[in-house]
Amino acid sequence: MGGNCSFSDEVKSCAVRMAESGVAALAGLFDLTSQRLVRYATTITRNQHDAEDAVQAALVQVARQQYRFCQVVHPWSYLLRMVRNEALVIVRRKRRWSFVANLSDLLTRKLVDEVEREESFRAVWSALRALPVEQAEVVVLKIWEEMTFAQIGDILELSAHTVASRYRYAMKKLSGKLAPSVRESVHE
Amino acid sequence: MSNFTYDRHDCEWEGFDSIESLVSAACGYVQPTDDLRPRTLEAARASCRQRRWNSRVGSLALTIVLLAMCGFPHWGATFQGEQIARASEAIRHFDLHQQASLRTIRAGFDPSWSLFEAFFELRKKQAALFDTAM
Repeated sequence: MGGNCSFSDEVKSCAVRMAESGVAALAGLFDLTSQRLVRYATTITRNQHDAEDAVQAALVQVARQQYRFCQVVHPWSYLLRMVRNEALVIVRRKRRWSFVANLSDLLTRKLVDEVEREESFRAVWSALRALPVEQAEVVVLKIWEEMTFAQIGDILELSAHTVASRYRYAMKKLSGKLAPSVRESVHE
Repeated sequence: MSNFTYDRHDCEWEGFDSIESLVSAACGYVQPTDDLRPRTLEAARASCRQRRWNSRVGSLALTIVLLAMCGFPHWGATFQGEQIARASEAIRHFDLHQQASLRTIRAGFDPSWSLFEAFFELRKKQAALFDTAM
């Protein structure tokens, strides 16, 4: 959680800079958060292009309401919630809830030392896309954003019990889907 | 239930550790496209410009409306005041006997009838002035 707190503090200082110097400081906030926001939005929209549209719309809103954003107590949670709302709007408009089997829409990073692990990364993303969105977003917020169930509950407007329950179901499903990848990583 | 309990439970769930670390390792796999940054910044700038422009136009419109609301009654009152002043001046200089004589000479009316006509006209002007002043 320490990492998440310090990240939240960094977002807070970006928000303060934006309030001071206006839209010019949005670049800093973008550089800090865009990758996290895109991967979170992608789990909701199941399409990276739509996810990027959601992120863009949310950040433009932040630029327009920079003083309000600066006054928010937890700007990182607030930003995630904004992106989630925008992503849900896009999903409702496009009705693209159906499972996208391939990952062709994703722009992926391929580092030389991670080439061998690409298969497992792809397996993770495929498994996440196979989950219901409500469960997938809990997994993303819990594991990638290192949030507690209570914090996730605040973003999703759910009780911590519900979030924990969704996480448990999601992990059970992921265990089944990712078992071969886990075995491979253990052998390595 | 407190967050603390949940946080402890988060760690205590056994069997998910390997899955969690596998998922965790894939966090940096997806990257935003290169054009997202310039696209977002340009959209934000355009949006802020539009907002400033809307704000200026709104302020200007509000100022015009306020000026109109404050100014028109005064302009109206000034115009009305001038009209009343002119009318009352005309009434003040309305010479009843002169008007009666003119009517007698021009129209060939009986002098008493001309006096009645002149008096009637004077009362009409006074009534009109009274209406305007109200």
